[in-house]
Amino acid sequence: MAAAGLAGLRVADFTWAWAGPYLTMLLAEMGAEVIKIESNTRIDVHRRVAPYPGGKPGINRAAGHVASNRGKLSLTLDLKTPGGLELVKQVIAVSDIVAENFSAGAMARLGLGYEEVKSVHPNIIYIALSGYGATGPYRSHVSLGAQLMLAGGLTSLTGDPKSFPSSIMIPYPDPVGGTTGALAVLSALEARRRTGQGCYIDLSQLEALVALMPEALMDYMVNGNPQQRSGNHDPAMAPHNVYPCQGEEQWVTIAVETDEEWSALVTALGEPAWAKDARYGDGFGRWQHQEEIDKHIADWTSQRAKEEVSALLQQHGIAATPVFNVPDLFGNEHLKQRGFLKTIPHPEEGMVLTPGVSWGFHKTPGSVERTAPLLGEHNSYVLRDILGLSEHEIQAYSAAGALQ
Amino acid sequence: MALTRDTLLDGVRVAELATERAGPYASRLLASLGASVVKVESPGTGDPGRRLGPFVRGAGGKEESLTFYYLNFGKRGICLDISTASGRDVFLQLLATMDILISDHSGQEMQRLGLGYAELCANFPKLVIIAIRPFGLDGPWADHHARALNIYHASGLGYITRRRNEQGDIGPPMRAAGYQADYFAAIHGAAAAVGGLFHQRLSGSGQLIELSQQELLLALIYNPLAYYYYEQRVIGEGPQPQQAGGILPCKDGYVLLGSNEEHFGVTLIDLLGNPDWSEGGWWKDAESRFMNRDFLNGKLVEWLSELTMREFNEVCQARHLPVAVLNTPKDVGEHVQLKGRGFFEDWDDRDLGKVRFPGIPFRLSEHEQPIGSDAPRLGEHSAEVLQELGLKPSDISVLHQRGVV
Repeated sequence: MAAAGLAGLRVADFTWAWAGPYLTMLLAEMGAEVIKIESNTRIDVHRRVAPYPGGKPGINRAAGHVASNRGKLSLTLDLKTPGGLELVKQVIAVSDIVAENFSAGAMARLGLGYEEVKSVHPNIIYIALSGYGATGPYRSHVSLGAQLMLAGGLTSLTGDPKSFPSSIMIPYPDPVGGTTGALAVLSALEARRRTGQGCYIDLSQLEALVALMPEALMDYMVNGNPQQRSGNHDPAMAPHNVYPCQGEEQWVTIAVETDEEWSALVTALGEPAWAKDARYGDGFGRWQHQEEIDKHIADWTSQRAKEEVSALLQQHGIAATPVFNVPDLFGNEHLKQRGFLKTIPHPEEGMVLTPGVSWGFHKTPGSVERTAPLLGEHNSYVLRDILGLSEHEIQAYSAAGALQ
Repeated sequence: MALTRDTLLDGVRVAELATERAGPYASRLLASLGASVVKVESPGTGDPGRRLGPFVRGAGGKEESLTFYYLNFGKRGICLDISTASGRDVFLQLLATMDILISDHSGQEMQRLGLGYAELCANFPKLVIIAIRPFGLDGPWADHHARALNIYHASGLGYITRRRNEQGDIGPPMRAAGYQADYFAAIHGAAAAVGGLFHQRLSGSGQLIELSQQELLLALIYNPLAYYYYEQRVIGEGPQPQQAGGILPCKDGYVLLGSNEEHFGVTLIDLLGNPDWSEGGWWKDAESRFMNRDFLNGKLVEWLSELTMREFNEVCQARHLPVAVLNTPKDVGEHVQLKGRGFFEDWDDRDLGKVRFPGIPFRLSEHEQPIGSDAPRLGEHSAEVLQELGLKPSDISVLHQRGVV
């Protein structure tokens, strides 16, 4: 396999939970050498979140650890010891990127703020991903993904308009912040290649989320129009919904935008009389009467299997796909042929499950074949092979508690 | 485009052959980091994104799409009919000057246009090509039609986005607000483009990079996937019932209070002033909090009725409680933190006047952000860009007469 795109670049990775690890996962997929720095007293929280393969808990094989830390190296250091701090500065000195997602100010308290790090490595690229950003009145607010979905407006706009607002059950703002951070870091690498200049990147996960919801926000900020949540409906397209199909909890999505798509749908449905209603003649009319249209479509879909509805409507050029639950995702022929869900070897547990590489680089594809590291698995590799310490020196640091 | 000195992507040239949200937002991100982006649209109708709401009425009375504005701010735009031989030739000349192409076309569509991806890679070995597709470039669904709604639900996320209603019934699978399947893929597309560019600058070699919007989203539910794979359990049919707390009303809105951890409960009771009913500490037990959640929520609502969202947030943050208030778009637009960090971009468009939109979600210590420019009018920069390619004004007017430009 050809060398991946970032081969030769090294990341000193202080991140934990999901936002930061997602960022460094993307860099690892591109071939960067990511050194995940933890301490035995404060390990990554995702090492302790179920499920585990075989149902047996263990800090080296939690599903979330495997999914977001695969391909990284693990180094344990106690940064509160002088030796630990000394070693981490040596790691930073031979790295290109420092990544952290602690609360704002935590790294500075450890003596690892941007200015200190810059004195060790003048052209380092340093990214801090905090919930609200490193400046501003909320800079020290506690934030988790679930909270940011409310803060950023996603929750108020999600869910059935006649019922409670809803959130996504996973902390979606984390991977949003992580990907946005990867874009920033990669762009900073390109700038450094050109100018020799590193930089400090202060990323706000709240801002990263809000940037992905411009429609409702601009409608308020420019027009003063307060949009409300609309379930699976769209502010302009109709029909645009989830429809029941044959069987229990079986659904299909249909999204129609143009007049051409609407008439293709009417053809696919067999030209039913109800669809000829003059009120449905244009997009606005269909949108105004979408509750009626939804009922007619549901009558039709509920007599058919979701795959059958989807296949028929796709033949007519209509955006229609089955709603997949987890078992469906394992059974779907398209995903099977692409081989996206993979099993990879794990030293403790035979084979473990992981999603594939996030993107398909055709020449430098990267890989997810190496699983997430055991805690401290690469201490010796990092200290001896990268930093060039002798066994004697390593033992002295270890005896002083620096490698805890 | 007026650029300040030293942006991150200074000198990077991007062509965009994409419509609506996913592809255009990827290249918009590159533009906002300093790349020079040329958007290629079909003559006449242009990007259907120009007709996406919400709209703003300009001084001349004409309505323009705010969504399009956000997605295309800072780009230049040309009109080119690439389905004609001469249009395709001009497009190939344009690609010869580019570092990156952002596309949302399937392999089959590109083939039909005489611009097959393999051929482009062979003819432009330095070009980084990003293809953002609902289901990727290969596989049985490579040519499927899908919008953000379809993709979101085809990724398994719909089942973990719904919740029970007031009667306790579970509704149909729910999508998250807006067009997350498009935007989430777009940030990945932009990151992949810069990753590919960095590799190209070092190795001289470009490449095709494909993204499947479905795979990007379904990778996020690794826990539900693993539960099923390891234990044959299907989890996640909406949030689990809470012991007490959840989303509750306050003086001027709603707040989120989680209360599953003991220290959280202790701090809360303390905030309530350790009232008589709390004596004995019975509420420290998780089961008691669950059994008495109506009583506890009643007390919390009583306390919250005296507090605004802002006061609630300040009180809880001072105690390091992870809480949140339910912000509407209005609250987000007026958020002191977002405003305090100068997140919103205020732009004065030559026709539309003042437009405000979300800015770039990070601040940089050593580099500038570009000033930006009006989102392009349809075909606004056709002549300018064609001249840069070395076409003579007479050639351009011939192309114009034939409807190619």
